[in-house]
Amino acid sequence: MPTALELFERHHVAVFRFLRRMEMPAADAEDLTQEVFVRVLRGLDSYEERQLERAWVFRIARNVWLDHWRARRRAPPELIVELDAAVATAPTQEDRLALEHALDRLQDAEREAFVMREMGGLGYAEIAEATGATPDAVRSRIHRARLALRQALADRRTIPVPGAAGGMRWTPR
Amino acid sequence: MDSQVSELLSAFVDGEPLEASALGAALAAPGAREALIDFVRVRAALADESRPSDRFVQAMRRRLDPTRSSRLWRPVRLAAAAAVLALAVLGVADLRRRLGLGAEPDQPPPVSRVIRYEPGVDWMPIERR
Repeated sequence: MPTALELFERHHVAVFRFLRRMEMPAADAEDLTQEVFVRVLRGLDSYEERQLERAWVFRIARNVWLDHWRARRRAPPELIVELDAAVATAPTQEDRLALEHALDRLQDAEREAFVMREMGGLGYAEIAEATGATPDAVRSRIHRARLALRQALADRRTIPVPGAAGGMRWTPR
Repeated sequence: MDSQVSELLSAFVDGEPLEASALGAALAAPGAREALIDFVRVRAALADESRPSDRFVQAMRRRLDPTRSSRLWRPVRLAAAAAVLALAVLGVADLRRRLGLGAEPDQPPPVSRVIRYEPGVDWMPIERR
């Protein structure tokens, strides 16, 4: 059986990114990442080898995230936008902003599955185990999320700023 | 584009296992190329390289490291074990003393002073009738 430290080394970055993308500022994401691995440490006795390790950790991460939002009575989250140079390139800054907005507008189940896939690197079976959904439902949720994000990308390309000269684009704020 | 085709392409982007024939048909569908490119574009735009701070990671490693934890408590454990052992030895010794187990048989105390009585000086014989 892995130790809590081993699980932390293997999964803490993915868990942190998952929490960040689920509307967490970096400081909160660190706090919640800590809470996740404290629960991992406490819950190691209930861990079974046959379980998918990453799915087990992410199920805990998901519960921590849900508890956090329940405690805050689902206050409207603030959009996280970090315009650091590393991510400001491809495709474009505006694409990224449009997608951030679109991601925030997704249904929780879709966003959760999509973020687990994209930021956590989980496979459909792992996401299914972490969320209690079926793999088919996960596949469908991720697909719907991806379509919504694709649409956001398409909208950004086609909606001009009202009254602006050609070539400028509307960017959701 | 057909939703099933789109879903299959989405699963393909995610590296999920697919039937080759179904994937071939999906890729041949109108709009499949554009969808694939957009899916990849979405992924690239949302790519996240953020990491928790080094300070946080170090603190968590210290907190979760079982060997470090036991190292910290080792002197305390040794001191506690020594104290228990000492108390046990003293207790057993006290019990033996109280029960008289293992004590030497009573002996007269060693001679420290000799008092001599001279007959006719310090004492007189009495004649019996």
